[in-house]
Amino acid sequence: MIKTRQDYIESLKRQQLNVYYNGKRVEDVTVHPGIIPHINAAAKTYELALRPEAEDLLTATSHLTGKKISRFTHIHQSVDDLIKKVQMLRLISHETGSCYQRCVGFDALNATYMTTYDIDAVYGTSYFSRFCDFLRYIQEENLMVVGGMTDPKGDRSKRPSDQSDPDLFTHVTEKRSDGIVIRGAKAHMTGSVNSHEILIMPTQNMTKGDEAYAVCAAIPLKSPGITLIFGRQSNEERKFETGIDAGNKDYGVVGGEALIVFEDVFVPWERVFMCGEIDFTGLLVERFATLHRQNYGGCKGGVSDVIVGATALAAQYQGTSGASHVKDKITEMMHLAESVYSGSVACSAMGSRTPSGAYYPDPLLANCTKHNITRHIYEISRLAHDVAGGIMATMPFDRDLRSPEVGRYVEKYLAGVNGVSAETRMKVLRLIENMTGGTCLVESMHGAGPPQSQRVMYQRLGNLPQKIKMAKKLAKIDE
Amino acid sequence: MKTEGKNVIVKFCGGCNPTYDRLAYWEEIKARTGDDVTWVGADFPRPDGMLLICGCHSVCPLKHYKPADYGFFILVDSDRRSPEDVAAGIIDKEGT
Repeated sequence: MIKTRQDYIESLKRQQLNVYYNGKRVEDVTVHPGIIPHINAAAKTYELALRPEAEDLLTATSHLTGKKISRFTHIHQSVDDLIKKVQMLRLISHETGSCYQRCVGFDALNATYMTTYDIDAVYGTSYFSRFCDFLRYIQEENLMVVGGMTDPKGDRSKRPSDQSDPDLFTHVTEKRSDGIVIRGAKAHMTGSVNSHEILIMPTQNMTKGDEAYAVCAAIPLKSPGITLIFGRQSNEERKFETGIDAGNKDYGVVGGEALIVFEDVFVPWERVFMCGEIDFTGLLVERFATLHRQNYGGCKGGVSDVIVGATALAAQYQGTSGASHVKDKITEMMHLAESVYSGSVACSAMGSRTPSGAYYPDPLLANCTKHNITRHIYEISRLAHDVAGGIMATMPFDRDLRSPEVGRYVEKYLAGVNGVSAETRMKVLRLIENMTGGTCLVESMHGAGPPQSQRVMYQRLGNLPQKIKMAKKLAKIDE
Repeated sequence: MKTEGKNVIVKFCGGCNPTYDRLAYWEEIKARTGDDVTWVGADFPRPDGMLLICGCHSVCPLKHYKPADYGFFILVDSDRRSPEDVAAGIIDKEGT
Protein backbone atom coordinates (compact mmCIF):
# COMPACT_ATOMS: atom_id res chain seq x y z
CA MET A 1 0.00 0.00 0.00
CA ILE A 2 1.22 3.51 -0.81
CA LYS A 3 1.33 5.71 2.28
CA THR A 4 4.17 8.16 1.94
CA ARG A 5 5.58 10.33 -0.80
CA GLN A 6 8.52 7.94 -1.04
CA ASP A 7 6.21 4.91 -1.37
CA TYR A 8 4.50 6.68 -4.23
CA ILE A 9 7.73 7.51 -6.03
CA GLU A 10 9.04 3.96 -5.57
CA SER A 11 5.80 2.59 -7.02
CA LEU A 12 6.30 4.73 -10.13
CA LYS A 13 9.88 3.60 -10.47
CA ARG A 14 8.83 -0.06 -10.33
CA GLN A 15 6.09 0.02 -12.94
CA GLN A 16 8.22 1.34 -15.83
CA LEU A 17 5.51 2.68 -18.10
CA ASN A 18 6.12 3.09 -21.81
CA VAL A 19 6.50 6.89 -21.76
CA TYR A 20 7.85 9.17 -24.49
CA TYR A 21 9.01 12.76 -23.87
CA ASN A 22 10.14 14.94 -26.76
CA GLY A 23 10.76 11.97 -29.03
CA LYS A 24 12.68 9.84 -26.55
CA ARG A 25 11.67 6.88 -24.40
CA VAL A 26 11.80 7.73 -20.70
CA GLU A 27 13.49 4.94 -18.79
CA ASP A 28 12.56 6.24 -15.34
CA VAL A 29 9.95 8.97 -14.94
CA THR A 30 11.02 9.63 -11.35
CA VAL A 31 14.34 11.13 -12.42
CA HIS A 32 13.21 12.95 -15.56
CA PRO A 33 13.37 16.75 -15.00
CA GLY A 34 10.31 17.36 -17.18
CA ILE A 35 8.20 14.94 -15.15
CA ILE A 36 9.53 15.37 -11.60
CA PRO A 37 7.46 18.56 -11.01
CA HIS A 38 4.26 16.67 -11.82
CA ILE A 39 5.26 13.80 -9.56
CA ASN A 40 5.96 16.33 -6.79
CA ALA A 41 2.48 17.79 -7.16
CA ALA A 42 0.74 14.41 -7.03
CA ALA A 43 3.00 13.32 -4.16
CA LYS A 44 1.66 16.25 -2.18
CA THR A 45 -1.70 14.46 -1.98
CA TYR A 46 0.03 11.58 -0.19
CA GLU A 47 2.10 13.86 2.06
CA LEU A 48 -0.82 16.00 3.23
CA ALA A 49 -2.94 12.97 4.10
CA LEU A 50 -0.39 12.17 6.79
CA ARG A 51 -0.36 15.65 8.30
CA PRO A 52 -2.71 16.25 11.25
CA GLU A 53 -3.53 19.77 10.09
CA ALA A 54 -4.78 18.50 6.71
CA GLU A 55 -6.02 14.95 7.27
CA ASP A 56 -9.56 16.11 7.98
CA LEU A 57 -9.88 16.97 4.30
CA LEU A 58 -7.36 14.61 2.71
CA THR A 59 -8.75 11.43 4.23
CA ALA A 60 -12.17 9.82 4.53
CA THR A 61 -13.72 6.61 5.84
CA SER A 62 -14.41 4.00 3.19
CA HIS A 63 -18.07 2.99 3.02
CA LEU A 64 -16.89 -0.39 1.70
CA THR A 65 -14.36 -1.33 4.37
CA GLY A 66 -14.75 1.19 7.19
CA LYS A 67 -11.04 1.95 6.90
CA LYS A 68 -9.38 5.34 6.72
CA ILE A 69 -8.53 6.03 3.07
CA SER A 70 -7.33 8.83 0.82
CA ARG A 71 -10.26 11.05 -0.06
CA PHE A 72 -9.13 10.75 -3.69
CA THR A 73 -10.34 7.13 -3.64
CA HIS A 74 -13.56 7.83 -1.74
CA ILE A 75 -17.16 7.64 -2.95
CA HIS A 76 -19.08 10.69 -1.72
CA GLN A 77 -21.49 9.60 1.00
CA SER A 78 -23.00 12.97 1.87
CA VAL A 79 -23.21 16.64 0.97
CA ASP A 80 -20.48 17.14 3.55
CA ASP A 81 -18.21 14.88 1.50
CA LEU A 82 -18.92 16.96 -1.61
CA ILE A 83 -18.00 20.16 0.22
CA LYS A 84 -14.89 18.62 1.73
CA LYS A 85 -13.73 17.66 -1.74
CA VAL A 86 -13.80 21.30 -2.83
CA GLN A 87 -12.13 22.48 0.39
CA MET A 88 -9.42 19.87 -0.07
CA LEU A 89 -8.69 21.05 -3.61
CA ARG A 90 -8.29 24.64 -2.48
CA LEU A 91 -5.94 23.56 0.28
CA ILE A 92 -3.68 21.49 -2.01
CA SER A 93 -3.51 24.28 -4.57
CA HIS A 94 -2.09 26.54 -1.89
CA GLU A 95 0.75 24.04 -1.46
CA THR A 96 1.52 23.39 -5.14
CA GLY A 97 0.30 26.45 -7.07
CA SER A 98 -0.44 23.93 -9.77
CA CYS A 99 -2.60 20.95 -10.72
CA TYR A 100 -2.02 17.80 -8.64
CA GLN A 101 -3.91 15.56 -11.04
CA ARG A 102 -5.74 13.11 -8.78
CA CYS A 103 -9.19 14.69 -9.04
CA VAL A 104 -9.79 13.30 -12.52
CA GLY A 105 -9.54 9.70 -11.41
CA PHE A 106 -11.51 10.56 -8.27
CA ASP A 107 -14.36 11.84 -10.44
CA ALA A 108 -14.16 8.85 -12.78
CA LEU A 109 -14.47 6.49 -9.80
CA ASN A 110 -17.56 8.30 -8.51
CA ALA A 111 -19.23 8.60 -11.92
CA THR A 112 -18.64 4.93 -12.71
CA TYR A 113 -19.85 3.84 -9.28
CA MET A 114 -23.18 5.63 -9.74
CA THR A 115 -23.68 4.56 -13.32
CA THR A 116 -22.79 0.88 -13.04
CA TYR A 117 -25.44 0.65 -10.32
CA ASP A 118 -27.99 2.10 -12.71
CA ILE A 119 -26.95 -0.13 -15.62
CA ASP A 120 -27.34 -3.24 -13.48
CA ALA A 121 -30.81 -2.12 -12.37
CA VAL A 122 -31.95 -2.07 -16.01
CA TYR A 123 -29.99 -4.92 -17.58
CA GLY A 124 -29.34 -7.26 -14.65
CA THR A 125 -25.61 -7.11 -15.35
CA SER A 126 -22.97 -7.38 -12.61
CA TYR A 127 -20.94 -4.27 -13.39
CA PHE A 128 -21.54 -2.67 -9.99
CA SER A 129 -20.14 -5.55 -7.93
CA ARG A 130 -17.18 -5.81 -10.31
CA PHE A 131 -16.58 -2.12 -9.92
CA CYS A 132 -16.79 -2.31 -6.12
CA ASP A 133 -14.07 -5.00 -6.19
CA PHE A 134 -11.90 -2.71 -8.28
CA LEU A 135 -12.65 0.25 -6.01
CA ARG A 136 -11.74 -1.76 -2.91
CA TYR A 137 -8.38 -2.58 -4.54
CA ILE A 138 -7.74 1.09 -5.36
CA GLN A 139 -8.64 2.17 -1.83
CA GLU A 140 -6.54 -0.55 -0.17
CA GLU A 141 -3.47 0.17 -2.30
CA ASN A 142 -4.07 3.96 -2.45
CA LEU A 143 -3.37 4.02 -6.18
CA MET A 144 -3.54 6.98 -8.52
CA VAL A 145 -6.13 6.59 -11.26
CA VAL A 146 -6.39 8.50 -14.54
CA GLY A 147 -9.89 9.51 -15.55
CA GLY A 148 -9.85 8.61 -19.24
CA MET A 149 -12.70 10.25 -21.09
CA THR A 150 -11.56 12.38 -24.05
CA ASP A 151 -11.01 10.56 -27.34
CA PRO A 152 -9.16 12.27 -30.24
CA LYS A 153 -12.49 12.32 -32.21
CA GLY A 154 -11.04 12.98 -35.69
CA ASP A 155 -13.74 14.52 -37.87
CA ARG A 156 -16.12 16.05 -35.31
CA SER A 157 -18.98 16.12 -37.82
CA LYS A 158 -19.10 12.31 -37.94
CA ARG A 159 -20.24 9.66 -35.47
CA PRO A 160 -17.58 7.29 -34.08
CA SER A 161 -18.60 4.45 -36.38
CA ASP A 162 -18.52 6.78 -39.41
CA GLN A 163 -14.89 7.88 -38.97
CA SER A 164 -12.49 6.89 -41.76
CA ASP A 165 -10.13 5.60 -39.04
CA PRO A 166 -12.13 3.68 -36.40
CA ASP A 167 -9.37 4.13 -33.82
CA LEU A 168 -10.07 7.86 -33.48
CA PHE A 169 -12.57 6.80 -30.85
CA THR A 170 -11.51 4.15 -28.33
CA HIS A 171 -13.40 0.97 -29.07
CA VAL A 172 -13.71 -2.76 -28.49
CA THR A 173 -12.20 -4.77 -31.32
CA GLU A 174 -12.76 -8.23 -29.92
CA LYS A 175 -14.84 -9.93 -27.24
CA ARG A 176 -13.35 -13.12 -25.83
CA SER A 177 -14.54 -15.54 -23.17
CA ASP A 178 -12.06 -14.04 -20.71
CA GLY A 179 -12.26 -10.35 -21.64
CA ILE A 180 -12.17 -7.69 -24.34
CA VAL A 181 -9.52 -6.15 -26.59
CA ILE A 182 -9.48 -2.39 -27.13
CA ARG A 183 -7.85 -0.01 -29.59
CA GLY A 184 -7.76 3.76 -29.83
CA ALA A 185 -6.43 6.62 -27.76
CA LYS A 186 -7.28 9.03 -24.97
CA ALA A 187 -6.07 12.62 -25.27
CA HIS A 188 -5.01 15.22 -22.65
CA MET A 189 -4.71 12.56 -19.94
CA THR A 190 -3.73 14.50 -16.82
CA GLY A 191 -1.14 12.91 -14.55
CA SER A 192 -1.04 9.75 -16.60
CA VAL A 193 2.74 9.26 -16.77
CA ASN A 194 2.80 9.20 -12.98
CA SER A 195 -0.38 7.22 -12.35
CA HIS A 196 -1.00 3.50 -11.87
CA GLU A 197 -4.33 2.80 -13.55
CA ILE A 198 -6.63 4.35 -16.12
CA LEU A 199 -10.39 4.15 -15.94
CA ILE A 200 -11.60 4.67 -19.50
CA MET A 201 -15.11 5.92 -20.22
CA PRO A 202 -16.95 6.77 -23.44
CA THR A 203 -16.14 10.25 -24.69
CA GLN A 204 -19.71 11.21 -25.63
CA ASN A 205 -23.26 9.97 -25.90
CA MET A 206 -23.29 6.96 -28.23
CA THR A 207 -26.17 5.95 -30.49
CA LYS A 208 -27.15 2.86 -32.45
CA GLY A 209 -24.24 1.57 -34.46
CA ASP A 210 -21.70 2.86 -31.92
CA GLU A 211 -21.97 -0.08 -29.48
CA ALA A 212 -18.28 -0.93 -29.78
CA TYR A 213 -17.47 2.56 -28.52
CA ALA A 214 -19.63 2.26 -25.42
CA VAL A 215 -16.89 0.90 -23.19
CA CYS A 216 -15.87 1.62 -19.61
CA ALA A 217 -12.99 -0.36 -18.13
CA ALA A 218 -10.05 -0.17 -15.74
CA ILE A 219 -6.60 -0.89 -17.13
CA PRO A 220 -3.18 -0.88 -15.44
CA LEU A 221 -1.05 1.63 -17.32
CA LYS A 222 1.80 -0.86 -17.46
CA SER A 223 -0.32 -3.23 -19.61
CA PRO A 224 1.24 -4.40 -22.90
CA GLY A 225 0.12 -2.25 -25.84
CA ILE A 226 -0.08 1.07 -23.95
CA THR A 227 2.11 4.01 -24.99
CA LEU A 228 2.08 7.43 -23.31
CA ILE A 229 3.32 10.49 -25.22
CA PHE A 230 3.86 13.46 -22.93
CA GLY A 231 2.42 16.83 -23.96
CA ARG A 232 4.58 19.89 -24.39
CA GLN A 233 3.82 22.81 -22.06
CA SER A 234 4.79 26.46 -22.17
CA ASN A 235 8.26 27.12 -20.73
CA GLU A 236 8.67 23.51 -19.67
CA GLU A 237 12.37 23.52 -20.57
CA ARG A 238 12.95 25.94 -17.71
CA LYS A 239 12.33 23.01 -15.37
CA PHE A 240 15.57 21.52 -16.70
CA GLU A 241 17.54 24.48 -15.34
CA THR A 242 18.65 25.46 -11.90
CA GLY A 243 17.90 29.01 -10.79
CA ILE A 244 14.75 31.08 -10.60
CA ASP A 245 13.47 31.26 -14.18
CA ALA A 246 11.00 28.37 -13.82
CA GLY A 247 9.01 30.46 -11.36
CA ASN A 248 7.52 27.48 -9.54
CA LYS A 249 10.29 24.99 -10.12
CA ASP A 250 9.14 22.24 -7.77
CA TYR A 251 5.72 21.85 -9.37
CA GLY A 252 4.24 21.63 -12.85
CA VAL A 253 2.83 24.41 -15.00
CA VAL A 254 -0.39 22.40 -15.23
CA GLY A 255 -1.11 18.72 -14.64
CA GLY A 256 1.28 17.02 -17.05
CA GLU A 257 -0.92 15.67 -19.82
CA ALA A 258 -0.21 12.82 -22.23
CA LEU A 259 -1.72 11.17 -25.27
CA ILE A 260 -2.33 7.53 -24.34
CA VAL A 261 -2.43 5.02 -27.18
CA PHE A 262 -4.07 1.61 -26.78
CA GLU A 263 -2.78 -0.89 -29.31
CA ASP A 264 -4.87 -4.06 -28.90
CA VAL A 265 -4.90 -3.94 -25.12
CA PHE A 266 -6.52 -6.89 -23.38
CA VAL A 267 -8.89 -6.19 -20.46
CA PRO A 268 -10.30 -9.09 -18.39
CA TRP A 269 -14.08 -9.08 -17.82
CA GLU A 270 -13.72 -8.37 -14.10
CA ARG A 271 -12.37 -4.93 -15.08
CA VAL A 272 -15.07 -4.12 -17.65
CA PHE A 273 -17.89 -1.91 -16.35
CA MET A 274 -19.78 -1.11 -19.53
CA CYS A 275 -19.68 -2.88 -22.85
CA GLY A 276 -22.22 -1.87 -25.48
CA GLU A 277 -24.90 -0.24 -23.26
CA ILE A 278 -25.19 2.86 -25.45
CA ASP A 279 -28.20 4.18 -23.53
CA PHE A 280 -26.02 4.78 -20.45
CA THR A 281 -23.11 6.49 -22.18
CA GLY A 282 -24.69 9.94 -22.01
CA LEU A 283 -25.41 9.55 -18.31
CA LEU A 284 -21.85 8.44 -17.52
CA VAL A 285 -20.39 11.34 -19.51
CA GLU A 286 -22.71 13.86 -17.85
CA ARG A 287 -21.93 12.58 -14.37
CA PHE A 288 -18.19 12.59 -14.89
CA ALA A 289 -18.36 16.07 -16.41
CA THR A 290 -20.46 17.41 -13.54
CA LEU A 291 -18.21 15.90 -10.88
CA HIS A 292 -15.16 17.30 -12.63
CA ARG A 293 -16.66 20.74 -13.24
CA GLN A 294 -17.55 20.88 -9.55
CA ASN A 295 -13.82 20.98 -8.76
CA TYR A 296 -12.65 24.02 -10.59
CA GLY A 297 -13.61 26.70 -8.10
CA GLY A 298 -11.67 24.68 -5.52
CA CYS A 299 -8.43 24.05 -7.37
CA LYS A 300 -8.39 27.21 -9.49
CA GLY A 301 -9.68 29.21 -6.55
CA GLY A 302 -6.69 27.97 -4.55
CA VAL A 303 -4.26 28.65 -7.38
CA SER A 304 -5.79 32.13 -7.71
CA ASP A 305 -5.15 32.78 -4.01
CA VAL A 306 -1.44 32.28 -4.72
CA ILE A 307 -1.60 34.53 -7.79
CA VAL A 308 -3.31 37.26 -5.75
CA GLY A 309 -0.62 36.97 -3.08
CA ALA A 310 2.18 37.06 -5.64
CA THR A 311 0.67 40.08 -7.37
CA ALA A 312 0.33 41.98 -4.11
CA LEU A 313 3.94 41.11 -3.32
CA ALA A 314 5.14 42.32 -6.71
CA ALA A 315 3.32 45.61 -6.12
CA GLN A 316 4.96 45.95 -2.71
CA TYR A 317 8.40 45.23 -4.16
CA GLN A 318 8.07 47.89 -6.83
CA GLY A 319 6.42 50.51 -4.65
CA THR A 320 2.98 50.54 -6.28
CA SER A 321 0.97 48.82 -3.56
CA GLY A 322 -0.35 52.14 -2.21
CA ALA A 323 -1.79 53.26 -5.54
CA SER A 324 -5.59 53.18 -5.44
CA HIS A 325 -5.94 51.50 -8.83
CA VAL A 326 -3.56 48.72 -7.74
CA LYS A 327 -5.52 48.15 -4.54
CA ASP A 328 -8.70 48.07 -6.60
CA LYS A 329 -7.28 45.51 -9.03
CA ILE A 330 -6.12 43.24 -6.25
CA THR A 331 -9.53 43.56 -4.61
CA GLU A 332 -11.13 42.58 -7.92
CA MET A 333 -8.84 39.55 -8.18
CA MET A 334 -9.92 38.41 -4.72
CA HIS A 335 -13.56 38.93 -5.64
CA LEU A 336 -13.15 36.72 -8.72
CA ALA A 337 -11.28 34.02 -6.79
CA GLU A 338 -13.91 33.86 -4.06
CA SER A 339 -16.66 33.89 -6.71
CA VAL A 340 -15.35 30.78 -8.41
CA TYR A 341 -14.90 29.09 -5.05
CA SER A 342 -18.48 29.99 -4.13
CA GLY A 343 -19.71 28.18 -7.21
CA SER A 344 -17.97 24.97 -6.23
CA VAL A 345 -19.29 25.14 -2.68
CA ALA A 346 -22.79 25.94 -3.93
CA CYS A 347 -23.05 23.02 -6.36
CA SER A 348 -21.78 20.76 -3.58
CA ALA A 349 -24.19 22.12 -0.98
CA MET A 350 -27.08 21.53 -3.39
CA GLY A 351 -25.90 17.99 -4.15
CA SER A 352 -28.19 15.00 -3.85
CA ARG A 353 -28.20 11.25 -3.35
CA THR A 354 -28.18 8.98 -6.41
CA PRO A 355 -29.84 5.53 -6.40
CA SER A 356 -26.42 3.98 -5.73
CA GLY A 357 -26.16 5.91 -2.46
CA ALA A 358 -23.33 8.07 -3.75
CA TYR A 359 -23.82 11.84 -3.65
CA TYR A 360 -23.73 14.01 -6.73
CA PRO A 361 -23.32 17.80 -7.10
CA ASP A 362 -26.05 19.93 -8.61
CA PRO A 363 -25.23 19.64 -12.34
CA LEU A 364 -26.48 23.08 -13.42
CA LEU A 365 -24.48 24.87 -10.72
CA ALA A 366 -21.40 22.71 -11.36
CA ASN A 367 -21.48 23.63 -15.04
CA CYS A 368 -21.94 27.28 -14.16
CA THR A 369 -18.88 27.03 -11.89
CA LYS A 370 -16.66 25.68 -14.64
CA HIS A 371 -18.06 28.18 -17.12
CA ASN A 372 -16.93 31.01 -14.82
CA ILE A 373 -13.45 29.46 -14.74
CA THR A 374 -13.17 29.86 -18.51
CA ARG A 375 -13.57 33.62 -17.95
CA HIS A 376 -12.46 34.56 -14.44
CA ILE A 377 -9.05 32.87 -14.52
CA TYR A 378 -8.22 34.83 -17.65
CA GLU A 379 -9.35 38.03 -15.93
CA ILE A 380 -7.39 37.25 -12.77
CA SER A 381 -4.33 36.61 -14.93
CA ARG A 382 -4.93 39.79 -16.92
CA LEU A 383 -5.07 41.84 -13.73
CA ALA A 384 -1.91 40.12 -12.44
CA HIS A 385 -0.11 41.08 -15.66
CA ASP A 386 -1.43 44.62 -15.39
CA VAL A 387 -0.16 45.10 -11.83
CA ALA A 388 3.11 43.19 -12.26
CA GLY A 389 4.16 45.27 -15.25
CA GLY A 390 5.86 44.57 -18.55
CA ILE A 391 9.09 43.66 -16.82
CA MET A 392 7.53 40.26 -16.11
CA ALA A 393 7.80 39.49 -19.83
CA THR A 394 11.13 41.16 -20.58
CA MET A 395 13.35 40.29 -17.62
CA PRO A 396 16.83 38.94 -18.30
CA PHE A 397 17.71 35.33 -17.59
CA ASP A 398 18.68 34.03 -14.16
CA ARG A 399 22.16 33.45 -15.62
CA ASP A 400 22.41 37.13 -16.48
CA LEU A 401 21.72 37.94 -12.85
CA ARG A 402 24.57 35.63 -11.86
CA SER A 403 26.93 36.66 -14.67
CA PRO A 404 30.27 38.18 -13.61
CA GLU A 405 30.01 40.52 -16.62
CA VAL A 406 26.41 41.80 -16.53
CA GLY A 407 25.07 40.64 -13.17
CA ARG A 408 25.76 43.99 -11.55
CA TYR A 409 23.59 45.73 -14.16
CA VAL A 410 20.71 43.36 -13.56
CA GLU A 411 21.06 43.90 -9.80
CA LYS A 412 21.13 47.66 -10.27
CA TYR A 413 18.35 48.13 -12.81
CA LEU A 414 15.87 45.55 -11.61
CA ALA A 415 15.98 46.68 -8.00
CA GLY A 416 12.70 47.75 -6.47
CA VAL A 417 12.03 49.53 -3.19
CA ASN A 418 14.81 49.82 -0.65
CA GLY A 419 15.67 46.53 0.99
CA VAL A 420 14.32 44.34 -1.83
CA SER A 421 16.94 42.78 -4.07
CA ALA A 422 16.56 42.33 -7.80
CA GLU A 423 16.61 38.57 -7.24
CA THR A 424 13.69 38.70 -4.81
CA ARG A 425 11.69 40.84 -7.18
CA MET A 426 12.50 38.58 -10.13
CA LYS A 427 11.44 35.50 -8.16
CA VAL A 428 7.92 36.74 -7.60
CA LEU A 429 7.59 38.05 -11.15
CA ARG A 430 8.67 34.66 -12.50
CA LEU A 431 6.11 32.99 -10.27
CA ILE A 432 3.35 35.17 -11.71
CA GLU A 433 4.60 34.52 -15.25
CA ASN A 434 4.61 30.78 -14.59
CA MET A 435 1.09 30.69 -13.18
CA THR A 436 -0.74 33.04 -15.55
CA GLY A 437 0.40 32.30 -19.07
CA GLY A 438 0.29 29.82 -21.90
CA THR A 439 -0.77 26.33 -20.95
CA CYS A 440 -2.30 27.47 -17.62
CA LEU A 441 -4.90 29.56 -19.40
CA VAL A 442 -5.76 26.95 -22.01
CA GLU A 443 -6.22 24.44 -19.19
CA SER A 444 -8.77 26.79 -17.58
CA MET A 445 -10.61 27.04 -20.87
CA HIS A 446 -10.69 23.39 -21.90
CA GLY A 447 -10.08 21.28 -18.79
CA ALA A 448 -13.36 19.48 -17.92
CA GLY A 449 -14.74 20.66 -21.24
CA PRO A 450 -14.87 23.94 -23.19
CA PRO A 451 -17.46 26.66 -22.46
CA GLN A 452 -19.81 25.45 -25.17
CA SER A 453 -20.23 22.14 -23.35
CA GLN A 454 -21.41 24.09 -20.30
CA ARG A 455 -23.76 26.26 -22.37
CA VAL A 456 -25.44 23.13 -23.67
CA MET A 457 -26.22 22.24 -20.06
CA TYR A 458 -27.96 25.59 -19.45
CA GLN A 459 -30.19 24.85 -22.40
CA ARG A 460 -30.99 21.42 -21.00
CA LEU A 461 -31.25 22.19 -17.29
CA GLY A 462 -31.96 25.92 -17.12
CA ASN A 463 -35.76 25.48 -17.27
CA LEU A 464 -36.46 28.38 -19.62
CA PRO A 465 -40.22 27.65 -19.92
CA GLN A 466 -40.62 28.12 -16.17
CA LYS A 467 -38.77 31.43 -16.34
CA ILE A 468 -41.05 32.61 -19.14
CA LYS A 469 -44.05 31.59 -17.07
CA MET A 470 -42.80 33.68 -14.12
CA ALA A 471 -42.36 36.70 -16.36
CA LYS A 472 -45.85 36.29 -17.87
CA LYS A 473 -47.42 36.06 -14.43
CA LEU A 474 -45.85 39.31 -13.22
CA ALA A 475 -46.61 41.11 -16.48
CA LYS A 476 -50.18 39.80 -16.32
CA ILE A 477 -49.98 38.22 -19.76
CA ASP A 478 -52.61 35.53 -20.23
CA GLU A 479 -51.91 34.46 -23.82
CA MET B 1 -6.81 24.20 40.38
CA LYS B 2 -3.79 23.11 38.40
CA THR B 3 -3.66 19.44 37.37
CA GLU B 4 -0.52 18.09 35.74
CA GLY B 5 -0.06 15.44 33.05
CA LYS B 6 -3.42 15.74 31.38
CA ASN B 7 -4.14 13.84 28.17
CA VAL B 8 -5.63 16.31 25.74
CA ILE B 9 -6.76 15.60 22.20
CA VAL B 10 -5.64 18.09 19.58
CA LYS B 11 -7.62 18.12 16.38
CA PHE B 12 -7.33 20.43 13.40
CA CYS B 13 -9.84 21.33 10.71
CA GLY B 14 -8.71 20.53 7.17
CA GLY B 15 -7.35 24.02 6.55
CA CYS B 16 -8.91 24.87 3.16
CA ASN B 17 -8.42 28.62 3.60
CA PRO B 18 -7.29 29.40 7.15
CA THR B 19 -7.21 32.99 8.35
CA TYR B 20 -4.09 32.43 10.46
CA ASP B 21 -1.21 29.96 10.77
CA ARG B 22 -2.81 27.13 12.72
CA LEU B 23 0.40 25.15 13.07
CA ALA B 24 2.40 28.09 14.43
CA TYR B 25 -0.45 28.82 16.83
CA TRP B 26 -0.47 25.22 17.98
CA GLU B 27 3.31 25.12 18.38
CA GLU B 28 3.04 28.13 20.66
CA ILE B 29 0.40 26.42 22.80
CA LYS B 30 2.50 23.26 22.93
CA ALA B 31 5.55 25.19 24.06
CA ARG B 32 3.54 26.93 26.80
CA THR B 33 1.92 23.79 28.18
CA GLY B 34 5.19 21.84 28.19
CA ASP B 35 5.04 18.69 30.33
CA ASP B 36 1.73 19.64 31.87
CA VAL B 37 -0.10 18.19 28.90
CA THR B 38 0.33 15.04 26.85
CA TRP B 39 -1.14 15.68 23.40
CA VAL B 40 -3.00 12.71 21.97
CA GLY B 41 -4.93 11.79 18.82
CA ALA B 42 -8.70 11.96 18.38
CA ASP B 43 -9.11 8.22 19.02
CA PHE B 44 -7.50 8.35 22.47
CA PRO B 45 -9.77 6.65 25.05
CA ARG B 46 -11.01 8.80 27.94
CA PRO B 47 -9.01 11.97 27.34
CA ASP B 48 -9.14 14.82 29.86
CA GLY B 49 -10.12 17.33 27.25
CA MET B 50 -10.06 18.40 23.65
CA LEU B 51 -8.58 21.32 21.76
CA LEU B 52 -10.12 21.87 18.31
CA ILE B 53 -8.13 24.29 16.16
CA CYS B 54 -10.07 25.60 13.15
CA GLY B 55 -8.87 28.00 10.48
CA CYS B 56 -12.04 30.09 10.31
CA HIS B 57 -15.44 30.69 11.85
CA SER B 58 -17.04 27.90 9.80
CA VAL B 59 -15.51 25.42 12.30
CA CYS B 60 -16.32 22.52 9.94
CA PRO B 61 -15.27 19.61 12.21
CA LEU B 62 -17.39 20.81 15.12
CA LYS B 63 -20.41 18.88 13.90
CA HIS B 64 -18.51 15.63 14.42
CA TYR B 65 -17.78 16.23 18.12
CA LYS B 66 -19.94 16.71 21.20
CA PRO B 67 -18.26 19.07 23.66
CA ALA B 68 -20.11 17.35 26.49
CA ASP B 69 -18.17 14.13 25.76
CA TYR B 70 -14.96 15.70 27.04
CA GLY B 71 -13.85 16.94 30.45
CA PHE B 72 -13.24 20.25 28.79
CA PHE B 73 -13.55 21.36 25.18
CA ILE B 74 -11.74 24.36 23.76
CA LEU B 75 -12.55 25.63 20.29
CA VAL B 76 -10.20 28.02 18.53
CA ASP B 77 -11.45 29.61 15.29
CA SER B 78 -9.15 32.61 14.99
CA ASP B 79 -5.99 34.01 16.54
CA ARG B 80 -7.85 36.74 18.40
CA ARG B 81 -7.31 34.85 21.62
CA SER B 82 -3.58 34.47 22.25
CA PRO B 83 -1.99 31.01 22.34
CA GLU B 84 -0.64 31.88 25.79
CA ASP B 85 -4.16 32.44 27.03
CA VAL B 86 -5.40 29.17 25.53
CA ALA B 87 -2.44 27.29 27.03
CA ALA B 88 -3.09 28.79 30.46
CA GLY B 89 -6.73 27.83 30.15
CA ILE B 90 -5.87 24.22 29.39
CA ILE B 91 -3.44 23.94 32.29
CA ASP B 92 -5.96 25.41 34.70
CA LYS B 93 -8.82 23.15 33.65
CA GLU B 94 -9.85 20.44 36.07
CA GLY B 95 -8.37 17.10 35.00
CA THR B 96 -9.78 13.67 35.64
